[in-house]
Amino acid sequence: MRRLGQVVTICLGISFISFVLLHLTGDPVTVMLPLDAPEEEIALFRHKMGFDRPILVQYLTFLKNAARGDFGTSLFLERPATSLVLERFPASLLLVSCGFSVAMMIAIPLGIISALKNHTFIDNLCTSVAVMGQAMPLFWFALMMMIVFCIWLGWLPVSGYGTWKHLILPSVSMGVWMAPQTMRLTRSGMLDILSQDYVRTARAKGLSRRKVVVKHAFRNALIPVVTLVGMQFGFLVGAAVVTEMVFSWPGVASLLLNAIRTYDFPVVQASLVMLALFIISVNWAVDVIVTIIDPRIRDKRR
Amino acid sequence: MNSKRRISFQLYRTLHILWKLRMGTLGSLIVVFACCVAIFASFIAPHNPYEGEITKRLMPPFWIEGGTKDHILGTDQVGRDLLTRIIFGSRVSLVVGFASVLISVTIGVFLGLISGYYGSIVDWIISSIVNIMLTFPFVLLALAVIAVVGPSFQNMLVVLGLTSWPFYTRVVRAEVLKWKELDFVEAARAMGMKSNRILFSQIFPNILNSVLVLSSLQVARFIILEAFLSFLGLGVQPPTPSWGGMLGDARVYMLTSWWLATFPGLAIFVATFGISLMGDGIRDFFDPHLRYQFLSSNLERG
Repeated sequence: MRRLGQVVTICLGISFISFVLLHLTGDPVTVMLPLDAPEEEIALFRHKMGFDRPILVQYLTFLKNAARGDFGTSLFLERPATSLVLERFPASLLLVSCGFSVAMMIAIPLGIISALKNHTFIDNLCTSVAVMGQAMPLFWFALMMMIVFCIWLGWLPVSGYGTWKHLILPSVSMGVWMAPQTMRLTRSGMLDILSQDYVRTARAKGLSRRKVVVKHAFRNALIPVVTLVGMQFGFLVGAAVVTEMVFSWPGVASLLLNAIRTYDFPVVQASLVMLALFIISVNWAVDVIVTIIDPRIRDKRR
Repeated sequence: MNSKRRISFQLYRTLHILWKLRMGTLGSLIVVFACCVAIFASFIAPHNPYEGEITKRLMPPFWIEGGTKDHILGTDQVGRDLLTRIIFGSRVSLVVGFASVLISVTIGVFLGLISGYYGSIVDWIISSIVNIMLTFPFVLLALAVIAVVGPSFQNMLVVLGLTSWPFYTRVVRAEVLKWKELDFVEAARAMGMKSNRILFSQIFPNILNSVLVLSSLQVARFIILEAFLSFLGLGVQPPTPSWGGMLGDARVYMLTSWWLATFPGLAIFVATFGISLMGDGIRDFFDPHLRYQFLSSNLERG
């Protein structure tokens, strides 16, 4: 129940931000119409969009329509903003989930290895590479990979959407961006857990090292990682913006970016609010997952 | 102990700590170097960053055929020296990095102190705002706001500062909650000290370490964000040289001139890497466990 209240506050907040955005410059009409628009056209447009009404009324109407999934029509494409955003969603979802998988495939094995080989050469190497990876700007890394794999080697297409070949570079860039932090967290989580009593008990019981690591330690080390992923999901979406931009990936983020550039406010608002809803639902799902894999929290809730 | 021995002991101690924190020392050296480059840019740069010779456009670095020693890293699309522009670009990056941190520290720490110390309704309001802003990818927020108010150097500073203070508020609030229960705060209150004074003279100094560590990591993030905004054309406007803007220009010439995209990105990478290392070093230095190690090993040997 508390959680639901939080979700409602967050939704209201995001809708408020995206609404206020329009009024930041004072008069939204001047931003949306060309400078040399005739006087009567401005007045007509203002009336059509409802800008001549009090601001509170405007916000409430906006909220009422938004709750029904109606953000108005795109100013340029003459189509409902909601459906424009919705048809871009699958592409973004594909990118985010592939990037996420790549990150996990890099981060979790490396994190476990460097925890098991704590303070050895391998551990130091992994940790330094992780620090370097964190300092690397995502869009520069993407550009560099483009130069090497698309232009010099000619193995992969530069940009676009469709085949699995198009998917490789964007998801690898996102994965490499996300991996360092996840790796460091997996490492510290594993180190923490390997020194716990129950791990020692399991070893003393005569279980093999491999079995202890996989069954006892790994499962528990995953908990902080999953929590972090939930908390950081917003940043993952932020990284998707960057990646979509560099690779001309036809997702929500590139739609949003174009809409921002052309001052297509219905689309901007629709995509901001819907992205926020998406992020919130993922956070929620992660909370549920954590309670499932962590019996301590599960028992407390009962 | 005579004074000469004491000095050599101090020297030994300092060197010892520097060696223990060698990665942090390396990072600090990189940061100092970058600051020097930014300050003395007009003395060390070989050419004028704004004027180029169009006949010498897109020249490669000197070790490749067609390049000359006069333009070590080559020239860009209008024949300006790349190295010179990278040297001058450090000014924008560092100023944006440090100035936006200053803005967000001021707001974030202040709200965090109030929210943690006074609790109740103030805390509820501030925490809700923080939750909303942390759920939402603030890259998007920054993009949208800048697009509406118009891209410029000052706007970017303000927007970066105004959208990232919640990180500080969350950390500071948690710290205040921890410190305000302790005996010395209780004692100050018993002595009749006013709330404001307790907050600023008793609690605030204790949380400075966390703020410092977070800030150093934030500077790195801001530099990358500034680069990304300028890359999209929403940040520093041409012809002012900035690393992100140079990368943005380079996209068009990527097929033929790889150096245009490589070196500015390398500059961003080195700067953020140095700052991250410095931040890790500061954190280790303030970590009580690690500091105990420094001191105890000193006592054993000295």
